[in-house]
Amino acid sequence: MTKNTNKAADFWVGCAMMVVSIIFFVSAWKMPDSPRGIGPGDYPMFVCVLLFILGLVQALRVLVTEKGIPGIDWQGVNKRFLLRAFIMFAATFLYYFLMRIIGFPITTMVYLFGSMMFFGYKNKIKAAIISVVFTLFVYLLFVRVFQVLLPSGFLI
Amino acid sequence: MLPELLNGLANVFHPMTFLLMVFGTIVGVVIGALPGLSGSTGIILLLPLVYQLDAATAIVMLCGLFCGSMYGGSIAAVLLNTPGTPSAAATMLDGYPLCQQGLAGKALGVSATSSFLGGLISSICLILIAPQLAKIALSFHAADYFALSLFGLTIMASTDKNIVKGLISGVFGLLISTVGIDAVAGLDRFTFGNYQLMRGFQLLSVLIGVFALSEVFVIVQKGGEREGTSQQQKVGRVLPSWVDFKGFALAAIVGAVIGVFIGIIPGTGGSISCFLAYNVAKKLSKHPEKFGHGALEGVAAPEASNNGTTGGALIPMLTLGVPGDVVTSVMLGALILIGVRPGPMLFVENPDIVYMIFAGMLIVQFIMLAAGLVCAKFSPKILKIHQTILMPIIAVLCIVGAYSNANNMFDVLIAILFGLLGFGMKKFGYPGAPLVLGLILGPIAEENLNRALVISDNNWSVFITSPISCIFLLLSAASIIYAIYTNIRDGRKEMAEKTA
Repeated sequence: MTKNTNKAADFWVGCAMMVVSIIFFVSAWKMPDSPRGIGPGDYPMFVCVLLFILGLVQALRVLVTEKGIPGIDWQGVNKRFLLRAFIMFAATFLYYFLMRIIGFPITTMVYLFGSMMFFGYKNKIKAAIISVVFTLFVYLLFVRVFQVLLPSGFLI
Repeated sequence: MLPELLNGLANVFHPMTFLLMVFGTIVGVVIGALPGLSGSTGIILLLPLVYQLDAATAIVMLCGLFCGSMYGGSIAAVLLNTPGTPSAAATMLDGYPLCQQGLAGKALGVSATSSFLGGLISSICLILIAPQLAKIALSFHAADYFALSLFGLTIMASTDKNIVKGLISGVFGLLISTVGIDAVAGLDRFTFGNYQLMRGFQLLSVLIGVFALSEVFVIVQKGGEREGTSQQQKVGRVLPSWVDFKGFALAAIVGAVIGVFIGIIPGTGGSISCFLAYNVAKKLSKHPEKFGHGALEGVAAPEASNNGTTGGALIPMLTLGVPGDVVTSVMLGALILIGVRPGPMLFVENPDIVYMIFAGMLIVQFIMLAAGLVCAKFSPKILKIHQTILMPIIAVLCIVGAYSNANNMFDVLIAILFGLLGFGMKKFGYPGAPLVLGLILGPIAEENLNRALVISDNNWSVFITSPISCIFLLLSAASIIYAIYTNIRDGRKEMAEKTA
């Protein structure tokens, strides 16, 4: 990430913190008061005020030092690398989603094999063996030894 | 104290406990040796196993992992010229030149021996200091606990290079700790109609996301490539000779003492102490010119100091419930998950657990020495483990770990989302430790704020009139002011360098 992109991110994170703190503050404002001690909304409101101030300081600092809102330097961002992280996140999310339908063993084997290939591991046979053996090991360890029922689907 | 300690030693030597300590230490060495993974990731990966054990056994196993990972970091530092953990950054300075001279085995042997010395001295300090500090902490009232929580959070946030980013992370952690059923009034807060959020954000899911899954995404983004290549396939003789030992013993002892004191200060850790110890050892050395070119003292001092921080960091964590560094903040989370709440009451209610930790820390050092010397022999093989295989396996273990907390798929979803958040935080320089600490300390702060105000009949001056609370609040303010000052000073220095 270039310095400009980092500054832009700092500015927008500051703004996001202010928005989040306002949403939470309004929600906490509606909560009932307590005659003694603090009510359920008081402490979150205190935290929201702190977060708002910090978000404001962060955004203002960028505005003052950069003399305006810095733009994201897209040329300095390695899109291929960013895409890799996004694909891995999407694959993990898909793994989570499919595990509920297909079940732990099959989805884990496919996820492991697919991720190893995606990472660039060359030996497909070795990857397949590791995927199957590791999945079975984890499945048996958790189900038989730890007595944890791992998600099952229509296949297993 | 001695009978309790002997009882702790007897428990530690229970075959199963001892075996798990050995297991934890070896896992720690291996995890620490792999660049990108640290002790905190190791603790998270072992959590499903931790759930199955009794509290004391689980803790001593985690202590083994903590100490093992500190030593393990030096393996990559010596062989790859890249630190396995941030705490081993200073070890590279002389470790890698030794490796280039064909003395990798010697460097790893010095590292293991110094780590042992550092760990042993810090364990003795832990045993001597912690019970005394706990006695003082027993006199704390609600207002003091509230101030202590603020102190813990501010000190952790202010150690970051950018104080505002550290504080944003910590306060965001405090905010998400308020999600769920309110402990005082029983009202649901910020659930936005989602019944799953009534339980709040589960600590384990957040830990897994911020510290482990985010690391997988970061390494994927880098292409799964490991920095540096091993220079040696065989490391040679590992055990240092008596002459060598006499040469680096003083540096190791000095490093250990520095490590213990740095470790006690909340929010610091091995990454700071290792450079400090390195510089002090260089000044004390008879041959300072050898530093940077393969001096054994240059390996001994940082390694003794980073292992010295282990016992030091456990002191505030066990006595006050405020972690000393990132790994102890994850360890604190792990202890809470298994039903152990560190703090002064732990010394009153569960002295057996406390003394087993003390005994465990002592014995772990001997196990670490043996494991370290053996693992050093196999270290080129450890470093050959492909990240392309390791990262998907870690991702699966994270998912299973998040699920096994309460057999709930929603916790898995939270872990993945916090993994994405942690990835973003890492990319843009927001530290993860204050966020997790905010999540842990948030409910403690709220509960004690409420209790202090109820007892004092809504008199806010109670936080100033109580001397302990007042001291913690002043220390919090001082830590923030000092961090702002250093931020401004560094900014000006940077500007001056740019214009020059």
